[in-house]
Amino acid sequence: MGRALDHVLRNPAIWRGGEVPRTGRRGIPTGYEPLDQALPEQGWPPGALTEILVRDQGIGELSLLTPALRYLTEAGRPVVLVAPPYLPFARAWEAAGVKLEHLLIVEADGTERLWAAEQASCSGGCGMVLVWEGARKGLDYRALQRLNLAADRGAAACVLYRPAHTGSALSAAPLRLSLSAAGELAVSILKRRGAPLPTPIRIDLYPAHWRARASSTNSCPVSTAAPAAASLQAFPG
Amino acid sequence: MLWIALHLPALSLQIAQRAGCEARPLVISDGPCARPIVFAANAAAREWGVKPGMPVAAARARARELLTLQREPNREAHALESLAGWAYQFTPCVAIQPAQGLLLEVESALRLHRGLARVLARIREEAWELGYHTAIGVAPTPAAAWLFAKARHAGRVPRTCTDLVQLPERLRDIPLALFDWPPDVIRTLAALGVIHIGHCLALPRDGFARRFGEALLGDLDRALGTVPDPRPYFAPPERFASGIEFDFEVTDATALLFPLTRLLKELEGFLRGRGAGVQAWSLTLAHAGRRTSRITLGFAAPERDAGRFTALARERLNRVAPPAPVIGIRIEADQLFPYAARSASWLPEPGQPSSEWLHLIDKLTARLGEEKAYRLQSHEDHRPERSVRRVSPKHRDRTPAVALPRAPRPLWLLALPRSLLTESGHPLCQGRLHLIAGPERIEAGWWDGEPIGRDYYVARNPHGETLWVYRDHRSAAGWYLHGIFA
Repeated sequence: MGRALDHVLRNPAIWRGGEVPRTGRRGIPTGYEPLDQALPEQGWPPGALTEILVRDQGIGELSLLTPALRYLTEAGRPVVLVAPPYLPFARAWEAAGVKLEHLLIVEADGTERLWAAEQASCSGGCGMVLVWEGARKGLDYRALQRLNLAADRGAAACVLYRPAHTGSALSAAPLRLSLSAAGELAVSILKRRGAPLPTPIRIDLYPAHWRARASSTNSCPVSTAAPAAASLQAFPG
Repeated sequence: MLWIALHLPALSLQIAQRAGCEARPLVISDGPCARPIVFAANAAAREWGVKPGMPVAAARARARELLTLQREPNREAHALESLAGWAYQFTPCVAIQPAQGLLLEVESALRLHRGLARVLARIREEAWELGYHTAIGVAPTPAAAWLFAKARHAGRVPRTCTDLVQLPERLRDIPLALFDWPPDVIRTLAALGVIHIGHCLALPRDGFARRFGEALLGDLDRALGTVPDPRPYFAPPERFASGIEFDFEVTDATALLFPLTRLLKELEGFLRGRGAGVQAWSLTLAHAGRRTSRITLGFAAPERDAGRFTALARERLNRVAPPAPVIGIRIEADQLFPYAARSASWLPEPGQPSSEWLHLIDKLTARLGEEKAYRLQSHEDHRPERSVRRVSPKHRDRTPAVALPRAPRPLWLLALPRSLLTESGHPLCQGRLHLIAGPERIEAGWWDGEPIGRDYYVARNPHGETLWVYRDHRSAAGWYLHGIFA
């Protein structure tokens, strides 16, 4: 009896509250062990839409993905950035291990943004598609559904960056994360296959000495005199 | 030897109708300017009783709104050459029958095409897709194939002959009128009761030659294969150019797609014949008053599939409407590249971009524009804004290796540094900034007239945003935001 029940419960379509269900599809490793453990695919889900809700820019929302981008581009699987908010600083991406020859940047506006994201997701040629939702006009439920379907067809992981206020809206994305800065990056899982995660996962993205200086109260700017060469040691080689 | 003859009856009319408008009565006029006669009439004109051979004035009296176009032998010759380029995909032995059609020698190519029936079906179907109606004849000699094709057009039962021995029997009841002999000779022969080739063959040879000349006897002998009939083979050109002119103005871009598809199919046939692909082709739109506009479509890898060409052209035409009504289109492709069919494999070979990826790049650039999709390259320059280069995704050069920076660099760079307010010496960006690393001095560019002298810091604001800011120490202008550690 117990064995038969076990067998039934091992079916990926069944999950029990309180535990992370495992799906057959293996995800793209996020590079952060606690996050991998919390995701049903043990990584960024391929063939599905993932929403990342961010209120502020510059809290590590992109660094969260760079290990996955490195993993994909090193394997020769292309990555597309649709409508990024700024110019990617090539040196920094290279320093993060991303192979630039497999990175395509697409500038698109308005409806073309969704079109380009959809084409890239369903093409079957990309490993991951990153899309930034425009500030002017947000995407509605149907648009998200289309992106999710396109990602499913092309077996690509489609990651959509959205402003935090859209978190309350209905979404077709099977995985929704919300990011906030609290010294380090706090990743809350709003929605996943299985139970939501009550406590956020904390990820430290930046070097330790930054944190040390950020927490110190003494943050006065340098004197107007030219900085001494010695202070370059703030960047350990 | 086995020859396929493609007869294109009323070629000038077919060229005029390739743009896809067949409802209106149309005639092609020929002959002296003072008294032109109808050379060919389309079905709509024939319904009004217009027949080839009648004066154009008489035709105008019969059909209202009759459109008359002057016959242009040059255009016919060009069209035949383009068609020969297309036919080159079936066999390398293509000969042009001036003004009327093509002759293809296919015996050596039959095995490749898996039989005569298949190759005939393909030729007929694909020629029809290009907008040409053909009458086809098959025989062991080019002249006999040509006679069969003309007989087919004249409404006789289709006839093929693949065996030289049976040829005289098969040619027996072909009318002599199908030879391009002078009309008075045909009339004289008809008066003698000599109407078919069979009748002619029954006559004594030397008497026939004395009465009508050696040339006509030679025509008969060549058809029967008793004397050789060498044909000059067509040599395909190194570039592709073909166009369609409209006899009406097209304002709607979608209406261009139909004739465009015909030209692109022609391009595909040409490329197949050459075993080549193109990385770019251009579409020239002709407007009234000799003005033209040009659209160029590029591809990430050599391509030749007309379906993909059409899909990309549709994307582009949807985005960029023609600036003025269009009266003709022309497709040109100058550079041919060796084409290797890529298999749509699930797991592409390592190092090779997958065909899906290349198709995606083509699709994105066709709709958004070439400059809207790019890859990045690092460039050896200390000035951050100069160290990023955009390169076309269609270029396949490797990214040059550049030494990685020792100091941290933000993932996002602002194209233009943003000036920051300060409060008693502290830079502000949504609150007071804490400098958590730095400074790193970057001093460069004094050699090319755009010098910078900056001290870069990593800073954090009260929201927890990590920013890349600098203080310009050359001018006392203060603090700038230049990047975001996203």
